Amino acid sequence: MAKESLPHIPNIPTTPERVLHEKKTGAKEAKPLSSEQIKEQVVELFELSAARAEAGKHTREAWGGLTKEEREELKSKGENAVVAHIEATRLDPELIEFRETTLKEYDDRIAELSSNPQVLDAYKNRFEELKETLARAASYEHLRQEEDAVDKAEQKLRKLYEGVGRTPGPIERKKLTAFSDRKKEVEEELKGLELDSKTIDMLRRREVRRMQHDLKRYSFAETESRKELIKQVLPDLLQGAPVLFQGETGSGKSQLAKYISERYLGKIPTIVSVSEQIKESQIMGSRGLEAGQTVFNYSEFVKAQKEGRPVILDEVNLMPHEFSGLLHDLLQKRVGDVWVHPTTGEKIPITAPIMATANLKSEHYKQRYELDVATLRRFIGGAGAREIHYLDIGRKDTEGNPIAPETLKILSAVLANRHGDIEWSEEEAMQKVEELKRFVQACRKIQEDFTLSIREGGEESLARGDRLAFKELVITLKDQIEIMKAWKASSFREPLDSIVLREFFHKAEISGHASKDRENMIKVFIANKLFQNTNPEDFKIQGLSLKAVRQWQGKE
Amino acid sequence: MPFEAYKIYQEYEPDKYKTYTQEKVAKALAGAKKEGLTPVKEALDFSEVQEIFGPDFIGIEEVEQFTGRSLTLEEQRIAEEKWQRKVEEQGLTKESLEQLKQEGFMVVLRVGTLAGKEKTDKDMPVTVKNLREKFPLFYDQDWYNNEQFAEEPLKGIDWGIVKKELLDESKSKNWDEQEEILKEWAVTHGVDKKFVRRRTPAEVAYDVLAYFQVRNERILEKDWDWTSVQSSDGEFVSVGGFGSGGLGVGSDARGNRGSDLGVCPAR
Repeated sequence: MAKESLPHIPNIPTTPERVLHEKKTGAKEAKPLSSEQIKEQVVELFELSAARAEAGKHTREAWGGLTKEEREELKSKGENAVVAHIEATRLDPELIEFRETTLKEYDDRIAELSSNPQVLDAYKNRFEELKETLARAASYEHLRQEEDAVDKAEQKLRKLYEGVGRTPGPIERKKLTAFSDRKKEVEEELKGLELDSKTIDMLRRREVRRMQHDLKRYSFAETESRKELIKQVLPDLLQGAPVLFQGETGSGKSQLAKYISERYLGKIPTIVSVSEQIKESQIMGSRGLEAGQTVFNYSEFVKAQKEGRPVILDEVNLMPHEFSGLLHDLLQKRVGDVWVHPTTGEKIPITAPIMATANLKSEHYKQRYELDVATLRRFIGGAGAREIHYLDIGRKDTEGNPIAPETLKILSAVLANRHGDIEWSEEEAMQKVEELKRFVQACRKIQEDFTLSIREGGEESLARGDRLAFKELVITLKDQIEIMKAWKASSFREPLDSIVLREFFHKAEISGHASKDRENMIKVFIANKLFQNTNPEDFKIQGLSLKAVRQWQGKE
Repeated sequence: MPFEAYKIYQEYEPDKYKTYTQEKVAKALAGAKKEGLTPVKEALDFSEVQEIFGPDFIGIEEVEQFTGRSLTLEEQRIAEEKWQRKVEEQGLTKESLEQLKQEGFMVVLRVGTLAGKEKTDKDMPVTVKNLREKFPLFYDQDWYNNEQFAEEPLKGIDWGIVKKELLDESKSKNWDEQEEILKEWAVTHGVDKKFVRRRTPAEVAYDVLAYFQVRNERILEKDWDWTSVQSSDGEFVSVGGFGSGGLGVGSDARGNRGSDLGVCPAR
């Protein structure tokens, strides 16, 4: 990639320059440093600058979102104004003080180091190199995004013609050809890109950062399998066709539907939680009185249709059959069609799809599940009735060993700081990675056994071979994320198994259920070398045999 | 240095950022292999190093035999990565390794933990004391029982390229004179002096015992390798004299000289 073809990254002052400017301190005369010392101080300055961004963010959060200027303005009004703000927004004054002093200490050290012109110059040079790498990475990402956009646009048009059953005319054919040509051009450009190791490093870090952003904003992160699924359903969804996501509890069905809606359809969806007790009025609306007049109040479901927002019917399988018929007509509509409300006769143009989720048909829950065939067929005729399972279930490497790359990817993003690094030293990293992989492996085993148990009936008789029966409890990706957050918050000083104990087992104990499930989970964790030295009483499981735990731990 | 998060999963997506040239090279290599052609390898992988060093290569299999525990896939991956990093950093080539072999060097993979003495015992960090506990091959001494250096563990997985016996010119020199000799050695071997160093006591003990356990041959049988680590009285620790009485651990004031006291350059 030629330097002149790289995108322009604007020149903005670096963190040390900004800190020096704010402190109104310029460069100072300092005793000359050796090149080794300069290098060391530049490394420290980079670490401080990176951490300072977090510290600044935390300070803003501690102040209830006030920027530095706003904080200063508030302080200039006097102590009473500050106290009033703290009380009104229910902030924690101790936390405010801690955050502020921390930020100040960051600034002091940054200013101390960067007041040496040798160090500041070396820092700026290194920063410029990073900018160049960033430009290369951005250029690559831009091409990938364009490739994706052209692909989606082309698919969308083809679907349109498939939908109406018409052959594209000469002008449309030209447009379609233009898409194909551009796609080839982008592919050629991508082929011509030679990525160096620094750019690849930055691309991978940016990917981690994007996942962190998505997890925070949507509580969802796109991994390869989910990306592929979205790619399959999106063209139909854009045409207003309905989709059904079926999967085990905690497999992320609702989160996926919500994510697609917000991220790809650009609309906040209306979520309708379906239950056996759902009433017709909750689907279509109900009559009421307003100023002495009879009015028809539309349900949230219909309101969403009118406003062009997608609807997510959560656990649609619980809907009584007599009501599901109400949806049949609507489920066949596509963008551009008009749906006539059966009661009011109002004509509502369709602009957004219906997404639904359902627990997978299982022996254990069979009394709860039965989506009637007619409804199911309408989803299949739309964007499909797609199955979603726990991430990485059934994945193996070339030698047949179970692997969990997608789960590890998400958990890595949770563990990382905003620069894509995890605060592990080189010496401890290997042991921590092993520990993390063993944890993920155990969770995966629990999910696999849970999936099989609920499909075939979670009876004791199912616990055959090395498979264990789980009736109610499973450890989901969300649980794993929470455990990772707690581990990170402990600065990784607390062993992972003690976090699992606290954040999962002790919390699950509060519900008082599923003690057999929890016992089986412990067995799986011990088999994966966690809880090797945990005292059996610490699991706090009623009826848990101490002898059995000691045997699993290899101590008896 | 913090740890890059993507390293946890990048092994599962090796082709994600493959460039066109890399793809072309991979295709060409696959094509050549199909036709029965073996391309000339540029990278120095383990098998080549093993070929060069023969019995003086203590790699994964040997280390598993020595430590009594299997290396995990992750550890093997790290070992490979560390070797490649060493090759790149130090500009090692087939020729330079062949020369080192000629000069009596060995290549040894060091790991941070070894299996406990009994099968039911837990793995333990590699320290002088733990090595002494596991292998009854030490000279009967107790002076270092409470010394900090004896409990200092090896820092995880890494490769050592180390001279099996003392550098002749370092014998009968005091500690500081030996430092100069190491620097000169670096210059004459075209390697940055920051990569040439003395070993720690745990490293010497590990290397000597690993070699003995897997090759049944004693190194440093009469001589003592003077390490970079000081004992509590400020003297520098030396390890060696691995005769029939066992591996010895001694210490000498930095001004001392001895015909059996020298240094084995390590890089």
